[in-house]
Amino acid sequence: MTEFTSLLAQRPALAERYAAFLSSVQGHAAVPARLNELCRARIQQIHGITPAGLDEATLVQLAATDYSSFTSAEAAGLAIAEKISFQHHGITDDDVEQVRQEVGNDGCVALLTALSFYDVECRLQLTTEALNVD
Amino acid sequence: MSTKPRVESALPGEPVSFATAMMHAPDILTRFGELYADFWQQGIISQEIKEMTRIRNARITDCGY
Repeated sequence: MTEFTSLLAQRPALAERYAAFLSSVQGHAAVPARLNELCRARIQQIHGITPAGLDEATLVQLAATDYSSFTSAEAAGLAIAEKISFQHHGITDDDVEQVRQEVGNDGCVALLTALSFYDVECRLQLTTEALNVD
Repeated sequence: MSTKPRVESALPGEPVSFATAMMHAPDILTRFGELYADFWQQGIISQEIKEMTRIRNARITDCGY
């Protein structure tokens, strides 16, 4: 359990609703689970958080922004993941269109929501760590 | 930054907005609404302070909401 989830657990109703929301985002049928996982990991790397659940070779590729071995959908999602934390105004219409073509309108909405909240989770995690809240 | 909608409205004839774009994924919108309602309506921090910080955050990130 991270500092963030530990803190959230102090408001059980809110924690329950957050879990339900995140589950609906990550479980959306139009977005492959690995695409979500890769994007979450890359956003964690950008924030200086070590991701869990992926092999070392994949993490090295992500850190190097070498998407050559990934699918076109994964590369499209990662292109937005790369910018969403600190360069959100640099996300272009073409970036979004690439994702939309890969996963459709519903998948595009689901993935953009996921990326936004992966960024939020990282910020909350770092904030709660810095505050040493428990 | 784009000045045009990047995802069309999910509701035919309705203009695109946060809600009508999110309607492409209605389950996510429902869960988000439940989460957001709890966040705004519960807890010891007043809605005034939450709104003030929301507006400040929107200005810092150059968000129109």
